[in-house]
Amino acid sequence: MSVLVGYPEKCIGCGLCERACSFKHEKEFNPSLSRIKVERNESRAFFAPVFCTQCGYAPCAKVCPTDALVKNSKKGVMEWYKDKCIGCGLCIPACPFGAVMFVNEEVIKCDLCDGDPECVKICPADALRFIDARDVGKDKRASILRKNIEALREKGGE
Amino acid sequence: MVVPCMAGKILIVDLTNGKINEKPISDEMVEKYLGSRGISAKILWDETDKNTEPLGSDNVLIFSAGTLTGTFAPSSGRVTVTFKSPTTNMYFKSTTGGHWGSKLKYAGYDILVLKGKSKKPAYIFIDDGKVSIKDADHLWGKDVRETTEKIREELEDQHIQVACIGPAGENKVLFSAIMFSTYHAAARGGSGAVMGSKNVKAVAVRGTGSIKVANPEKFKESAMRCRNLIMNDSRHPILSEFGTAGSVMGINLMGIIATRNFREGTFDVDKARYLTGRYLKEAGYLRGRVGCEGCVIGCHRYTEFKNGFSGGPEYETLAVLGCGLCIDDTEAVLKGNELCNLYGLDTISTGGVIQWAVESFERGVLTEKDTDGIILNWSDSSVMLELIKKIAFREGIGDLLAEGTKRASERVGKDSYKWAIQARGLEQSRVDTRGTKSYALAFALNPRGPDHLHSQCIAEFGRSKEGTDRIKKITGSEKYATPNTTEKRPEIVQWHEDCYAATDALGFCTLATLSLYSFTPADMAEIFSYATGINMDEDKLMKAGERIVTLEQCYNIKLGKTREWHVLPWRLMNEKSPSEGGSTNTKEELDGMLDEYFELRKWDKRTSYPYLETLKSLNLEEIGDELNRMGIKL
Repeated sequence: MSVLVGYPEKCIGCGLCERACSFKHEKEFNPSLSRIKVERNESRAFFAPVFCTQCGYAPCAKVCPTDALVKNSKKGVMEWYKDKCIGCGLCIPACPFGAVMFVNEEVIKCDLCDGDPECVKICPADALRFIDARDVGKDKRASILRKNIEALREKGGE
Repeated sequence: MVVPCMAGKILIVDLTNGKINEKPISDEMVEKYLGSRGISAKILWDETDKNTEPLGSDNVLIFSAGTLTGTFAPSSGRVTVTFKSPTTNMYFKSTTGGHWGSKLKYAGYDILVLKGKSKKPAYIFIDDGKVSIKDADHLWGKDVRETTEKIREELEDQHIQVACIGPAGENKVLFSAIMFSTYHAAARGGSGAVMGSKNVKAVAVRGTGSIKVANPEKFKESAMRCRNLIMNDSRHPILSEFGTAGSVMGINLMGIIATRNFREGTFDVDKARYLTGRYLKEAGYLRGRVGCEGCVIGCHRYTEFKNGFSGGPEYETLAVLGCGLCIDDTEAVLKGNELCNLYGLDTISTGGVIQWAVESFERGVLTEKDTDGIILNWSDSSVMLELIKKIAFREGIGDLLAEGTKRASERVGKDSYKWAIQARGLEQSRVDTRGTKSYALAFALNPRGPDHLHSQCIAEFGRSKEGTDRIKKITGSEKYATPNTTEKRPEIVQWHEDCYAATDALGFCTLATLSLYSFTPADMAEIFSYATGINMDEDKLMKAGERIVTLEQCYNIKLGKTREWHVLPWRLMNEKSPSEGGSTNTKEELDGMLDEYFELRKWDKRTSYPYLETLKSLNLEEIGDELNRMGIKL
């Protein structure tokens, strides 16, 4: 199962992901309709892509009184069903990331573009990846190994 | 009908009476002038003339977002600011990156025109088509960072984009900048002073609307293709990893880095290494890369050091505050950069005028009596930092220096014009044109003054395959990809000027078209067509670029400019470059290139005026007619 992963330390804040997202879903360029948001602290040049993580134990689904948000475990996507939704908006504050939005009487959130996220394809800074969940920590594990080896070798020389 | 990809409207705010108007942008206008820089030049032509006082209420300040800005066309987030410059008394366009431009378009406007003068400090809030003029008493005197943060706080929205001036603009320092998105500057020509003279502290924008394109599928295909062109250019990794700062050592080793106020062409390599992009990264000062709106290069930097943090520094800043003043103290240069950003100062002119002051002191033309007791020395970073503050607040000697190198040297006299590295009022940017002949010609022609932001001919260095290929396309042979010859320079400069104008008008970054070169006018024409539905090809696009360049030239002619204005700073034309085999930009050499250039452009080489037929062929008859009515014989 692939998951969408963001790397804030690599994000340069260009906002291309927001444009690609709104273009894919709305056929127009409008970051306010984007399912992915780049949060920014301009003074300190800190940027972070924020999006629905398709939680396993999703608060948005838990609070929904009509079961309009249901996890499609085959696709790994938390899906929204328009016909079931009563527009109460409870899911919006329930999301710990602020990644569920309510625009023009519709819930909008990341749907992983049917398994081929546009944001990943356009990101020029490698700050977004769509990878197998098992591989997410691969780089970190490898870096731990590197650090350990370096530390142990240094110690061994004493 | 609104042209696709544009918001379709010009917003006009008259600060004298508080009236707010809108004007539509026609498709003829977009086809003729492409957008942004082109349309703004025409507005400036219509609204101002010889009698317009640059710092008076009759000047206009025009902010324009590119035609492609707001989309995912690669590196398309640039904004052009156009005005009659208080520095040069001529046409001026100053461009910037950041994130302000796309917000303007999402808010419903392509262009904002500020007219008149507010009675008291004000800021403008454009809130999705609702425009208000708000009180700015509480912001006056605040620096750029604080102003930006305060506005977001009081409007309760961290996503609002702010363009503002710092104390330097308020004090009408003639080279004060307008700062966008905190650290991105429309730096040159005194745009900040024009904004300050109108009592406008800031323009804040909230935009949540949409931009649509004419042919979504083709547009996407084209945008992704162009994105990959830029990202695969051989120089992309350097710009991306080190920013413009990455070229400090290369330019230093070529002997053209303008050291000690252009008296030397190389800064001691053991010292210059502390001013390089690589050093900033390896020493841990570089804390982040920043991409302007929609950018696939991300050359902008963010640095932190012991006593501060800021955006930048760029190549020009390192060269002017570092090499130019013979300072190798990295943290001092970073501090100087931070102060210029906070006060809202153009680093090039700030460093240029400080170098003039230090040399004047060395030669005894300025003394401690003039400098409030400060001893001005080369390699003294405390002098640099002290003078930056004094300039921003016009304290003591700072009041003289705030007028820029030209006026300061005129006031002080005693031959100090000889080391005033300016022409037409603008301090030269940090390339020694004595060793780079395209730059020399381009700097002499530039309607702004001697700098690189009108026609940056990087290709002449022959340092990338893509650049050299371009030289071959322009001249017929790659042997002309060398900066030391005057041959074929007119052709090279003409191509670069036209391409630069088209790039600005579409909102693309000139680093993408005129530094990386992989992204060409043909590509720009293609993506423009799919975006707007206006049929465009390479020839038509370059012709529109030529039209913009010609209109800008005509504007200066309307103001009384003649061929005599196309010169370079005195030192460069009269003193030999100290680099090995160093030459001068002699009048003869320059005249030869200018003659050829004017012939290529079909401009009268005696006067530099375009012929009436030339204007006709560019659909600029009305411009020619007006010049004729004024008694200027074309």
